[in-house]
Amino acid sequence: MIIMDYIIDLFINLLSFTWNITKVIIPLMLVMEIFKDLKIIDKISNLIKPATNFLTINEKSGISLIIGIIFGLLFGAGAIIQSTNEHDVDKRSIFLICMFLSLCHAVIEDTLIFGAIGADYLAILGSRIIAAVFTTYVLSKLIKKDFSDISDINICHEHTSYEHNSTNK
Amino acid sequence: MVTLDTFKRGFNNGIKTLIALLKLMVPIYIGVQLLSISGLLSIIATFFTPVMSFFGLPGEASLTLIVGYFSGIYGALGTLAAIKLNAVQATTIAIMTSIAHNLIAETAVIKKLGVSAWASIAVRLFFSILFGFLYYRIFG
Repeated sequence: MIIMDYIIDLFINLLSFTWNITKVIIPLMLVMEIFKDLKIIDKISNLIKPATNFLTINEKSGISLIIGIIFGLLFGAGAIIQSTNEHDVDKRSIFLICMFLSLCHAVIEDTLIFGAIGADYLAILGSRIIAAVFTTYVLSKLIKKDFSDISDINICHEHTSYEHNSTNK
Repeated sequence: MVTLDTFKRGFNNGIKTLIALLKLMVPIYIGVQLLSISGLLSIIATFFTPVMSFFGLPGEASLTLIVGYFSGIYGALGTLAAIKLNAVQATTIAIMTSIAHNLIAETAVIKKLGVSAWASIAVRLFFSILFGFLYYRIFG
């Protein structure tokens, strides 16, 4: 009956694993909905002005940074698109926000999920924030604010060449 | 305004997300178990042990990294449920996969915004490896 014991063991392991995820996901989704309905995002967008200034990102797109950090890359991208429709957001800011969000998005969910299986919350969150702030700061120094900057042209170029390739397929 | 509806939506979203995640994680978990029983996992582990020891991780954790980089956080979790790790190792792999995960799908999103995909992948892999190594060196 070794096989039976093994299957029971596997099942118990799976159940405790599922429970660990459940007790994070359900409260998290509840809090996220409360965040949305209380319009907390709008309220904190004023608070991050020093941060957007430090990273020399367009103030108007700062809100997409917060949305991305809290809710995830997809929501952040949606917010960026919305901000470009409503305001004049330069390509440089979009690039910097994307680099930040690449490293640091959906931090609440990811951190809690890994915390639930025994990893150190602070280390995960801290390393992502340090990596994102460092990268964005260095890039903001490297890429000049001038629109005709070479790196900016490179970004456009890569994008169009990608589109070209995909239509070829 | 927070109403009863807010909580209903939150709860429903939670259940929906949970079901979607379990559909991904349970097959991966069972897959890793099968790999383990068949002995294939130990072959993979032996192969990757030199690389993974760089981060103070057992060879089995290479599976977590590969699944995490390609599929995402929850896929990585599915493999972690089947692999025994201590607290430092769990944190190391958590840092590595939380910085770089789901690279194909998330880079597609980045590309939609007209930003270089390579820049995004490069910084993520760079910091994933750097911070995984640093955490192990400092706390391991």
